[in-house]
Amino acid sequence: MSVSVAGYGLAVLAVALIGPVPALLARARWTHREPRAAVVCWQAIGLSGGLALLGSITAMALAPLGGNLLGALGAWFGQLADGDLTGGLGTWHQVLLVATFVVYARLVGVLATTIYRTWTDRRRHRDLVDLVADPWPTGRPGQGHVLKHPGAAAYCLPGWTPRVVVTSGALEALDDAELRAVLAHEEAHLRERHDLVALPFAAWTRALPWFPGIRRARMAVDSLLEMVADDTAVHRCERTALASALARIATIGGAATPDGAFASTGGTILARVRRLLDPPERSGALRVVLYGTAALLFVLPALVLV
Amino acid sequence: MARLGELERAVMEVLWTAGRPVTAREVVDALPDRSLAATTVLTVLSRLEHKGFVARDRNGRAHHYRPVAGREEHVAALMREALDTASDRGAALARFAEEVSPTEAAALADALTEAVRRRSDGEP
Repeated sequence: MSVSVAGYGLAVLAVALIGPVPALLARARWTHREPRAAVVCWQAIGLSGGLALLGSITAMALAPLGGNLLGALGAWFGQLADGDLTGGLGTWHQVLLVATFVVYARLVGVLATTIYRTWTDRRRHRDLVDLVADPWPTGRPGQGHVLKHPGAAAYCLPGWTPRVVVTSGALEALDDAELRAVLAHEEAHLRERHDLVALPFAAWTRALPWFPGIRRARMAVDSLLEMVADDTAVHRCERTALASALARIATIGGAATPDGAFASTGGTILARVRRLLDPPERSGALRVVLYGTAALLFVLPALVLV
Repeated sequence: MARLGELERAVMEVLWTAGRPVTAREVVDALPDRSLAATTVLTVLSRLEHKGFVARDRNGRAHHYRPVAGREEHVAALMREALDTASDRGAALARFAEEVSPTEAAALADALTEAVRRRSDGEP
């Protein structure tokens, strides 16, 4: 495929994967039937969209050099090696090439700072938890760290030395079966390292905050990961107990924290509780479609290289 | 590691109870485990200082240590982070449930009643 055709092809793909596709998929309730496959599909959309974005501006910048994208890159490097600092490009295309480098640098830079900040925030949070948390009450199932606080919250700190944190308010509100369900849910997050799945979406949202599609992708992936953890948890706890625990914690919430920052995530919790009470029928066909689409999206940007 | 963590908690406990800046010597004397070497306590204090939980003031020739924040303030800060779904900061944690709007709360209350009823009916 010639480099100029590749440029336009990739641009169309990038626009589709950053704009309408995430908008439609984020709204689609049927993804809740197969959350795990849907997450893989989102990952493919994110990766493919990112590669298409970078590939399209690179290809447009190198269009005058002809050949396919790899050939044009080779030609450009050849010109540079021969001492022609323009790389054989006119002014407009040189500007475009500089823009390409800026986008590359921003994406890689924001990913690196997001990883670093997540890591340092989490380590500080964990140090503090270790310092101020109370021991797990004897007589209650499971184990974890207890924060003495009337608000109801339960969360986990992923990492090499993970922590599960539950407030005393939540411990009081939940019976033993509900507590077991909460812990099973958090352990699912920790064991399957959902934080690593969510991280690139958080990074792209920060790198490209002007695209609503990317923000929607992040929110959709976050909710789907909760459903994946719910699905894993119900193998080891009572489904209805997980539902009531979820509803209880969300109802009490941080109501007792006067300066807590609250945000609604558009009915995710309600959707999760209803999903647990009346599980949607699983669909093999839907799984095939989602995994198939993901596989196609993974190879699509590579096709234009040839 | 676990032992060091326990020591850190014990030292913080002393600082929180003291209610005024204290010297390392005073910390050693106040610790329940009297057999601890002063150098060990100094190490723990400097670790806590490095982590930003303890501040050190120089007062003539003596160093005085004080907690940067009380236990309740730390817990409140942790809760703020844990419940903060709006900012990037929240990316570090995985929450079990977020806050909900009033209309959602009503629907949630119904769902909760439903879940509790089904549980008492013996549904797993």
